Amino acid sequence: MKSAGESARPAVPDDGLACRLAEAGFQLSEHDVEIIRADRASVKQRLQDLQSALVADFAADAEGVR
Amino acid sequence: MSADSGWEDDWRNPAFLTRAYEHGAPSPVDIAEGCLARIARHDAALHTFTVLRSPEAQGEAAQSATRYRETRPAGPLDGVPIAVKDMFDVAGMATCGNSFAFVQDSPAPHDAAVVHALRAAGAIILGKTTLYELGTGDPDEGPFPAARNPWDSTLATGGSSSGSAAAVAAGFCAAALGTDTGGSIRIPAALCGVAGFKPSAGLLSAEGIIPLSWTLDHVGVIAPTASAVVSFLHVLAPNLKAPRWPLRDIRIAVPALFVHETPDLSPDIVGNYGDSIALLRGMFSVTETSLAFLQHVPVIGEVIARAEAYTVHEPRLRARRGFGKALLGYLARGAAYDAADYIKAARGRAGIRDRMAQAMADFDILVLPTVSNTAGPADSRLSDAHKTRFTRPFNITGQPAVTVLSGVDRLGRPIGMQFVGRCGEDHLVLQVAGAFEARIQTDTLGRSLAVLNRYA
Repeated sequence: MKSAGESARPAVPDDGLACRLAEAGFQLSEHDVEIIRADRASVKQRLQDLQSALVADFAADAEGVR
Repeated sequence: MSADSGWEDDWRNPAFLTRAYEHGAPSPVDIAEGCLARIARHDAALHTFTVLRSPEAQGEAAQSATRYRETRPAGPLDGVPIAVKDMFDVAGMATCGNSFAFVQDSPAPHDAAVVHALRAAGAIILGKTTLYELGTGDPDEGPFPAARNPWDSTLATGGSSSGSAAAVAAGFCAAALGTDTGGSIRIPAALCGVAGFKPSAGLLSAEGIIPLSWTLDHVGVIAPTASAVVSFLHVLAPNLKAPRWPLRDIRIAVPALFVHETPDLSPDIVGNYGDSIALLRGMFSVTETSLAFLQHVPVIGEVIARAEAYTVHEPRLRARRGFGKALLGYLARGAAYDAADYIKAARGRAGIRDRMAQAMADFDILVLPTVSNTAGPADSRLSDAHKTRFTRPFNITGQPAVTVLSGVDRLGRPIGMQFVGRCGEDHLVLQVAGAFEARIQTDTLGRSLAVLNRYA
């Protein structure tokens, strides 16, 4: 059973990002890390969109060859 | 230089200048001392140089004058005064990159490869120019103040080769070396009303420069005009073929939709683009092209540039402090990406290159604005994706690109137009841009001349 203190703690993703940036030599506040985490999530989504676009392009090319 | 005679007799044009030297007036000493005197009078307001080589440059100018008297110039740039962005090694000088993290480094033992080539051709290095910290940080977070725009010193220069572009525009030197990872030569050149040339990827050696992103970095030249850049390209890439294409056969394409879909695109840029296209239609065959795939360029550029920059600077990050806040944010984002992110971006880059190569089979030169707005106030900041929308694609593809002065906005601020070619066809890009700039309006030329005269 969780204590009251534990249940009030905000949910922080345990993705290791803060630790990774600290080990790399960055001295960042939690707020800074949060901004970078959000930026990275956005970049990952845009990379996924890029991948999808490339696959669609290849499919269109293959269709053209046929 | 006069508004009636065009660019031909601009003293900053090496072809004009070295012909004058051969006839004995002016001499390389006159020109070098003139540049140093202008810098002494005006650079306290413009902040273009971080360090000068005044005594050395004067001595080298005297030696150059002697060589001309003896009709044995060292090369095609003998006595031409130039400046070097402080990302390049110059033997005996520290390479600081306008960063506190580098400012205490030892002097470089050798010249960077391109600096060596220019010096061997007789160019005289007046000093080093300022920049945005290490090519991507803020202009005012390093040890040297931010450069100001010679057209109006309350305006920003753009970056990162800010000092190089401003120094050429003010007539402090004939040309300057710069680096361009996402537009760092072309953007400040456009905002300062001069020509900025980013050659084909790998054409010019990056040996002896502080890298930012080694697969996107390009070494290039800022000069008053595309025609003046040609003299430097002959020296820096002597083996690159320079065939003369019949201009009437050149096929131009304009990505009008890609340009007009740009958020916050200035109406003045829209108007100038239309005027430029109309002018080009009188000179070449002009068609429209889509290039919709360029919408993916920002994320590719962001991931590759930031991840590589972090990799470059990781040892210094661990060893010491001194990086500015903006640069730290950039590097931290690079550190946050993982291998899969970088690989996806690299695959995307290959896809963009393929698509562009296919598109360029139907035309020879692509023409689009260099930036979406003219120079803003000196303290204004644009987002990375916003300011590099028109320039970064050609760092991704490695194509040669040059910006030239194409007009002024309603407030008299310079506008740049960008000409892009196929990889290896650098001379064609400069030839077409040179033909275009020779036809720009006398009024625009007069304004550029007025800037030069302001710093006489």
